[in-house]
Amino acid sequence: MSESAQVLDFVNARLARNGPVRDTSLDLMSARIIDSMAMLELVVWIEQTFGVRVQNDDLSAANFRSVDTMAAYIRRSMAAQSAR
Amino acid sequence: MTLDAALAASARRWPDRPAVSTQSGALSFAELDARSGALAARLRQAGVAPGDRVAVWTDHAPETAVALWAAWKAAAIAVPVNGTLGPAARAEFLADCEPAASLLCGRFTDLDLAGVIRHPPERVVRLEPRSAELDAGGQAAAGATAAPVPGPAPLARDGDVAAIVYTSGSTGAPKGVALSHRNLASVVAAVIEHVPVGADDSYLMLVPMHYVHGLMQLLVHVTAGATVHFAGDFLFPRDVVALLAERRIVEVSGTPWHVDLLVERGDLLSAELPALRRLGVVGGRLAPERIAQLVRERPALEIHVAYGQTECAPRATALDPARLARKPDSVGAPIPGVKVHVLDEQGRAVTRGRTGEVVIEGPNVMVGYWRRLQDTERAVDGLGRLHTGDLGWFDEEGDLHLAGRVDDLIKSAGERIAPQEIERALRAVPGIRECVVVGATDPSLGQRIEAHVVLEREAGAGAGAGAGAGAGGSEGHRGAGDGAADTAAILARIRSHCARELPLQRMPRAVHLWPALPRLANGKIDKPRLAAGPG
Repeated sequence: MSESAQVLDFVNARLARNGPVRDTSLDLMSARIIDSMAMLELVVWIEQTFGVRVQNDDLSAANFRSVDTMAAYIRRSMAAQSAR
Repeated sequence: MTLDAALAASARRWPDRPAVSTQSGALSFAELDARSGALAARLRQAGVAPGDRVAVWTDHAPETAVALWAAWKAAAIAVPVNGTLGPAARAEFLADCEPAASLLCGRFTDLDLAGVIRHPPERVVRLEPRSAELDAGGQAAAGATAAPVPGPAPLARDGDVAAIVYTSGSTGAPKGVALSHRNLASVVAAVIEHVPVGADDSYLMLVPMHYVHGLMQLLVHVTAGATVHFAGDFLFPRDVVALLAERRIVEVSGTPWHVDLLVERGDLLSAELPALRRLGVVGGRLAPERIAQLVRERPALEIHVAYGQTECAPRATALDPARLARKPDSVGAPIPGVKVHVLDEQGRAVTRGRTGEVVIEGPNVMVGYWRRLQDTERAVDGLGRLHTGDLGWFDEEGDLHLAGRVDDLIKSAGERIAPQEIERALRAVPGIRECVVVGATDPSLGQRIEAHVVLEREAGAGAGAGAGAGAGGSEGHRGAGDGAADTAAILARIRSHCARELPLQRMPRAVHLWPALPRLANGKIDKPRLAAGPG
């Protein structure tokens, strides 16, 4: 399963309140799906599922706005980690 | 003093100082006073009467303050509500408090309340920042074309209910806590005195505005002539720390969860923050290691630990920051004007040092639960004292120490056991990051002691990743076998440690491992989800 599909599954299983999210480019913050508690849950889940460490600098809207941006961030982090 | 009078006094004394601000702008005290006055006039024109409930769909925006004071200036009752409530919870809330008007703030201005509210649609006001709606309200109040405002402005009295704050209890349906102007104003005066808060201060609001702590901090700083800056959603801790620097914030407060995030994810301790003087901690206990770290690395930062409940508006005690390093487990002494008793099961005062139920007496004790007489009679006794359901004891300096909830005492094999005692033992096991101990229903014991544990990154996933790298390039992808071996080792360590430290009947019968403990939006442990297990 792709990173994007896994993130989408997690968002729909744990965070989405008013019906499932289908659009992976949806701004999850404007849609009020991600609050601060949900954000932390996401970070812990990403670190455990993909074996990457989310640096404090990376914890930003640019990386966490949508399923797409999270998937891209996860792929970049995994690539950087295996290159080390 | 009533809350509307408090704002009027600040507006007279400091008209041009910023009262409430965000990144996109600020309202001065005079503007906050004028705008809330205009909105109050508009509400009265639309038929809102004294004592009516006004639902304030709060957000982290200055408009929330405008909406609250509009309700108070109309002698109505402000009901702060969480805009992210689901449809069922929203319906439950509306049926319980029956608002006569709905004021929508910040991101919630676009909420569709059609078919949900029972009051006339013209009493829905969407408060956009610098909104035409609001300015129109102001003009209408002053203009000749609009319907005249009925009669002279009503005045709330000290004993009138000012706000209904819904408590997000760990169990049961939410209850509305009715707080009077006197309840809130007495706590505000006590906080300004004991902290103390001055007119040059600035406060960063992190907690949601529908929580009583957020409401109290807004009232404290507006009454003191200080500025409240709204941080927004608190999604990214680094952004919050950047705000602390940029806005030269003097005080910030939150739950231990907020503090942990600011330190661990926001790099609070290495940031350059010359203005920051106070860190307030409410709604839970900061880990002793965290306190030691803060004291060591930020010696000039005063850490203000306080205790209370929504039902006491919401403060009862506060710890002198100078004593924190010496007694990290204490929540301090009663605030000015408040008495705190520790009573046994028969309602008698226990001797100092003994544990009993914490009972609060003073002008801060709530009027009652909204339309729940039986619940009110259970919580507030004939002497007007609030029975908190918290267990605690006083030390020789008169500082209170909490010892769990009356309801949380585990009754196992006829013995009453404080879960905190077992949690303390577990925290000493290397590799445990967080733990909570609860009583699970057990057919023979009554309750069975169970521990819910979160492991340190290094002890769990991290150790597995290291072992995987040695086995051939699978770094970052924890092998199932390695993870299981680590887990077994930790569980064995927990067992042997508990066997050494605890009497046999106090040993946890089961240890559940969680990636993170399930929490409610307010940072408290979600007990029902905990009981359902890590899944």
